[in-house]
Amino acid sequence: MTDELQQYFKMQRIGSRLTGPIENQQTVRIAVVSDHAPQQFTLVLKAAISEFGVFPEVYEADYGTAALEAFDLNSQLHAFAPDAVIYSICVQKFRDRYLEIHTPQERENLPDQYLTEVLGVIDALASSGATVIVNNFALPIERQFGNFGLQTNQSLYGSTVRFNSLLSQALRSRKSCDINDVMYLANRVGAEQFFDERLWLSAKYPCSNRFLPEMTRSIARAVMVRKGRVTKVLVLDLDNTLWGGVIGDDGLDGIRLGGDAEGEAYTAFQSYIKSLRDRGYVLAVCSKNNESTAIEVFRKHPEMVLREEDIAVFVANWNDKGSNIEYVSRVLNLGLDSFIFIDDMPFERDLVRSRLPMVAVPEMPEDPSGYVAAIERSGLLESTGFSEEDHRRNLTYREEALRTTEQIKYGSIDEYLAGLGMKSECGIFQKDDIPRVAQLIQRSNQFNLRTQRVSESQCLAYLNGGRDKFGVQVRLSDRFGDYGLIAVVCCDVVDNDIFVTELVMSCRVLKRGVESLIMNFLFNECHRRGLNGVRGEYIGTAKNALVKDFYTQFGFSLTDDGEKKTKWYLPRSEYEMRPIFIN
Amino acid sequence: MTEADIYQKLTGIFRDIFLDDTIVARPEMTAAEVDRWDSLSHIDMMMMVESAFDVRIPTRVITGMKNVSELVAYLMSKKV
Repeated sequence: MTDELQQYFKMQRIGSRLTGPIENQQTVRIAVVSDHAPQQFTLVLKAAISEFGVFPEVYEADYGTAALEAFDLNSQLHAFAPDAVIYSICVQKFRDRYLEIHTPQERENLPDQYLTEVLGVIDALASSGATVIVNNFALPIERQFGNFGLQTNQSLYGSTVRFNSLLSQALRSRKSCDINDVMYLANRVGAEQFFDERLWLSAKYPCSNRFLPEMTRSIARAVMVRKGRVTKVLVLDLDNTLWGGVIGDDGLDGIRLGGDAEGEAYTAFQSYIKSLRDRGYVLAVCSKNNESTAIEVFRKHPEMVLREEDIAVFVANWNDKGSNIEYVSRVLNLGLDSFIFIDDMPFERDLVRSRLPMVAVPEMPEDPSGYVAAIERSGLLESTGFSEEDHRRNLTYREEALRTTEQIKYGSIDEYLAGLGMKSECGIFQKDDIPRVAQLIQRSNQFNLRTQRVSESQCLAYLNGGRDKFGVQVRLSDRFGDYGLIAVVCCDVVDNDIFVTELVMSCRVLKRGVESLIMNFLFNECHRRGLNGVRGEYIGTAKNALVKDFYTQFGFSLTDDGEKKTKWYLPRSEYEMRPIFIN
Repeated sequence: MTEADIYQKLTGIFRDIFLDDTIVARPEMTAAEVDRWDSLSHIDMMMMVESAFDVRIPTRVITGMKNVSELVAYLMSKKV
């Protein structure tokens, strides 16, 4: 069964089992008035509304009774006192009327005439005090005139296009009425998929039941946006989200932005994000990077579309993203339930979803050319209007944020790490992996203790080093995927100690326990080879401040405190094996 | 698929749609004898059959089907 059909059955079940509000759930009163069969539609709609965490109290009018319910002030609908009325009209009924007409003049007037009738019902429904959500029409395949159809009301297609256009116009002055854009939905999935003549003929379905979930979710969003369910803040990751590659390792020249197709996918995405900024979203950055490294891209890279002044809050550090997003929320003084978090990594998306369930986290595809569609498909961009103030909002928030300072709280993510199902292979150098080992050594700048840049041929010496030298390589995978080779250590045996000549790790896997895994392995080797302890050094560069205190976390003693270089030592007997969440 | 296989698969679908674990699809079976088999669940059932057997079911079969054997005959004719 296709996903869409499964969704339909699932939502139907959910809708039919909703009996009352759970605990403190808010109730939303919904009236459904339709000119198609309402029953399955209403069940699925109930499920869609309940996805917002509210209970839908629903009154379902009998099929085809819209005018009766609307114009009779004593009708059951008026007595029901709905918060929102779903006036679900369908193009099939419009088509019925069109096909009954046989004079060109009447056909010419049809869109305007139909609109007058529809508006009459809308205004009467709105007099109950409710918000009215009305469908526009999916565009029919009946053009009768080929390409010319668009230009004449004599064509059913042309007539429908005109009706939709008139409806949009008319609603601009009706503040309590909104459109459910069925035309957009049908266009996006394709008319041939959307329509199902058999289902209209046999049971008066307005579309294939596969699209009832999407249609009703669209309605639910239109209803709930009126109740304040709006998103206001876009929190953006940087590496592989706004540009291709990792700035800390690849540098300004190495990241992919502009130029070729992939690079242009990223600039196109940035342009789209900028358009969302113009529309009123506040932009924040939340990235695992050194702040100076990250901000440099915004200041110096010629292909950047987003610049420093486009970002209201810029957070780049090594803390977990859950804590960082909470920080952004405090600085902006905007609730987390108005946040959208965009990140290319499933690990980060899932972490934020579990830590901060009120933050919306859309699924993103692997290919950046699909990022824009993923955000649009998420349905998170609902709005009730646009004003000049929206256009300036990001700038206003940025100025305010620059005046605010806060401490970032540290949170524990141990439970999350445990649930990741991480597996690793940690062992001595393997011949086939040497090229990748050497590459990691060359590329790593931030998690790099001595930046010796051990070459590939030197790596071979560590591969075959026997008693005097050895190398350690670490592979990591978790339930989201395989990260491949992510850490390398080159060790020399000197004076009966292990000396760590080179230690590098990919920044993609920080703070997951790989550091402990390595250290446990080194001290095991120490034991196995009958050596006394492990000696290490930190040599400071412009980029590796991150690992300045790497050895302190494992209990090493500082034996030499130079300005640019520190030396460390820990005897084997004093090392405590670290617990890790990795198999 | 053999006829027996088709009946078995339909049994699974009927139990799912009509919420009754005791249903067994038989040739003479009609909607009248199943509690929750009404015009609406009938459509749902047909859509699930379409998806399960990967066939397109025409209007005349959707609305014209008198008993289960007619549905099975159609599915057999489509060499599911």
